[in-house]
Amino acid sequence: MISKKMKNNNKLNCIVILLVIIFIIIAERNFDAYVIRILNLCAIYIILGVSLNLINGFTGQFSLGHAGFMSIGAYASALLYMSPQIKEVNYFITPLIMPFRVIETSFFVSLIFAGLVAALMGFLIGAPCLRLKGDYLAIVTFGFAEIIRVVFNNLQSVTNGPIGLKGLPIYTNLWWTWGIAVLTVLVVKNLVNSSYGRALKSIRENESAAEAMGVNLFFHKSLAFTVGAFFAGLGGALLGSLVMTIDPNTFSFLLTFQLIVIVIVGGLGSITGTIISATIIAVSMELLRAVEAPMNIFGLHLTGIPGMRMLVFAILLMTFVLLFKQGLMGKKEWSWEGFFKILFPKQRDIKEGD
Amino acid sequence: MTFNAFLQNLSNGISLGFLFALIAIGYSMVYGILNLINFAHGDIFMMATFFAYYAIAFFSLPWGIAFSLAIILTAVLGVLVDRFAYRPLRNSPRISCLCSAIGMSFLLQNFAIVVFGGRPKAFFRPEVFTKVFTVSGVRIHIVSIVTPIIAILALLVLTYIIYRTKVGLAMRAISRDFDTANLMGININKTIAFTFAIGSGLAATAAILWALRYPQIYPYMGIFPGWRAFAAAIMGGIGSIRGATLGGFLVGLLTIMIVAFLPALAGYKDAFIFIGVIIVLLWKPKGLFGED
Amino acid sequence: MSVLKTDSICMQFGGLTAVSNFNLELKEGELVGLIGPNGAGKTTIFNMLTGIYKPTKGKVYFYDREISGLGVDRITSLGIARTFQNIRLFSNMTVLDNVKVGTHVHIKSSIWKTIMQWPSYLQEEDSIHERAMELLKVVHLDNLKDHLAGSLPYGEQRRLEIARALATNPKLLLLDEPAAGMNPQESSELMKFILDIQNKFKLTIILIEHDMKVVMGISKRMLVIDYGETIAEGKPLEIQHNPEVIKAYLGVEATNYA
Repeated sequence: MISKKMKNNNKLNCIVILLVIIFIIIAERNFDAYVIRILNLCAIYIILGVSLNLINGFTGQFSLGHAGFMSIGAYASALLYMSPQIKEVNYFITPLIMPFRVIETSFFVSLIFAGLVAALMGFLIGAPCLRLKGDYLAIVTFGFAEIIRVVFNNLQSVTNGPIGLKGLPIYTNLWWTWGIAVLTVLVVKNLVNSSYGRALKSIRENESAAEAMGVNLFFHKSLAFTVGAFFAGLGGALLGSLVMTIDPNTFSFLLTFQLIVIVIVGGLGSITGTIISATIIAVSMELLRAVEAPMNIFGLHLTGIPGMRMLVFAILLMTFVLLFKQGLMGKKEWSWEGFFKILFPKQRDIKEGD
Repeated sequence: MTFNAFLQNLSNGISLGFLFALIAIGYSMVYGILNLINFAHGDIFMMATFFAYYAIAFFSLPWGIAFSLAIILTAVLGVLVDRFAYRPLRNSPRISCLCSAIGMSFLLQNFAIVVFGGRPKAFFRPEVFTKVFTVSGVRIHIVSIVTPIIAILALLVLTYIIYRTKVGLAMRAISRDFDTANLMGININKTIAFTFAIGSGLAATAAILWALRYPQIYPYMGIFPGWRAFAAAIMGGIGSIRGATLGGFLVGLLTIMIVAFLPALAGYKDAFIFIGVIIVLLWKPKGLFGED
Repeated sequence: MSVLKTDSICMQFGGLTAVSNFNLELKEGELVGLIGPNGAGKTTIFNMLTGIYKPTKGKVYFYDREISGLGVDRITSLGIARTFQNIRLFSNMTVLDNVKVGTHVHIKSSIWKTIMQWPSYLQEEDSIHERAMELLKVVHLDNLKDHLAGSLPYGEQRRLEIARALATNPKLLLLDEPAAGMNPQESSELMKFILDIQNKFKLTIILIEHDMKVVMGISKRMLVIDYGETIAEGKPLEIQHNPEVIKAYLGVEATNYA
């Protein structure tokens, strides 16, 4: 029975969640701020990478607009969780519009708002992109992200323009980031392994055949964009509250590029792959910062090499695109079945449940 | 706005339009043949300026030789980019090529940052290119005159190559039907390499003219003209040389005119370009002038 | 009530008329063959019936309901399924998943229930699984259920496509050259197979085929298309001896297949 397998998987997944909770408790108590920051970034990159993979990898719609959704999420949530005092300090040129000027909500509420606004944007952007394929879709989604950036740069009374927002309170912590990361993985995984997920994949494989088999292209493409944008908005909001300042250029194509690298390296059709590569890249990004900053080794002052980080990433992307096209995991996923088969290779399932 | 100011903007717009046209042709040619948007094209443009800069600064070459050398080197760079980033993926799904193009773009940009440094450098402007003519109150930079001349020359040469040489025939054949052209014995790889060489050479020409006009060069300088030229190619009908030229004009003029006539919206000018591209792609996917 | 009724439908692409005045009325349980030279417009007719094209003139009725102009997926949900001339499988998905995609059009669970793994959704997944396995057994592909569709040999890919189409629970099945590339033995197995599934799933079938043995062997009625026009209609024997048809298409050898 498929449902029995799913129920069992759910039980095992609960154990994993439990382990994550224990890990967070230990981490908060023992690790220093630098490591915790990296752990937060890992989780955020997982959220962003998995949500991008839903659109690009599973549905085959190559979107380059993810940074736009993040930006919307970051600003939307900031507008709610900033206190009126901080708002007044920031919006000194043009006051923030009402009602946001006087509102202050909890982080939780602001996150929901961020996700919903981003999701709405995802839907609005995804809808006209239906008929576009490949390169053209990439251009249009990139264009939308750029338009968002320019608009945010100019709407002083909403976003404070190019100055951006500073002094944002840090609400992001391991519980929020990893909690939402787990939520993202669960939602996307459940979606992808369902009938809807098969419909999404069929669109990726062959649109005309998918349609002929009754898959409504508009609904399903919109689904991918909307859900992907929702979690991107959450990711953006979390990032905003982590780095304490956001401006329209924080969420630039550079960030989308990093996410593309994550998704390609992990494998376009694999959530597990994305999780692994997101972690690797989040860690590497921080470690590589050292290469860029000036260093003092044995009294020798070495000036850092700026731009080295992104060069390394560009080379990484090229290597994977040219040599390991399938990424780390290709389309394979972690499955409890596979795991146990590796642990206990001699045992065979007597009841396949088919 | 005074009539003089209008003429000023018009002349700026026209010469800018020619620059965009030269760059846009490169996009169009590559797309026409490979169905690939060469994201790295704008960055190849950028590299040309640095080639010229270092030819003069390090090797003290006279500007005529330096500029010519830069164009040649850029053409070679274009061929190399195709050879290493796009050729291996000829038979791969489109998404791989797209990622490769994006990766190549970032690679060139950050290579430039690491090797050339991120701070803008002052491009060397030979004496002869600093003259400004004043015609009834309108200041016309000599570069604004040279640009259309060189651009038109380049276009004539290009048209000759495409319509009167064997290589041009091969290029047209491949853009119509890749597989059949292959079966007919056309050397695909050589022809494609040639296409990249020409496209990059044209971009390099535009780059030098650009740098003579706006003498600050820096690793990210290819992004703005790159996207503008790309928008021009799309609007003119990607794959069409004529379209790229006309599109280049449109974009050049619009870029200047929008800021001139609606200064309040100047902050949004970057957005307009993309709005234009999106509208064209959604409404007339083959571009405003259709496919060549 | 007829299953399908077309009302002199035409298809024009600019100045080119691909199909003109195509008339067909199908009763339940019929098996009609559609033949004609390459480029005659047969697949275009299929495309008009399934919603890929909207007829430039005329209407299509499915169980007395007008479907011309409806979207492809909508028409499939109403009960018309098809296979493709050039096999369009979901190559990177498993054989089983390919068939399961066909069931999606009739799914009851909402997205929310799916994401939250509601019991009713889990039950539905079970029944989808059972149904898909049944269909795979019918086409003898059940032992290959976890193989990637793209890795299957040609003949098995064709059978998979039919199973996938059957998964949409159609009342009318359109088969576009299912015997293409098959040897005589495979073709005669296919003939039996088509009759079997027609019986088992109570289908009405339209069959485009070039293999005369197959199409004349199982069709009760045939239409011959040439340059977009219907040049003959009738029983296989009548068609064989129709001089127009012979002139346009069949040639002398086909008359030996009696």
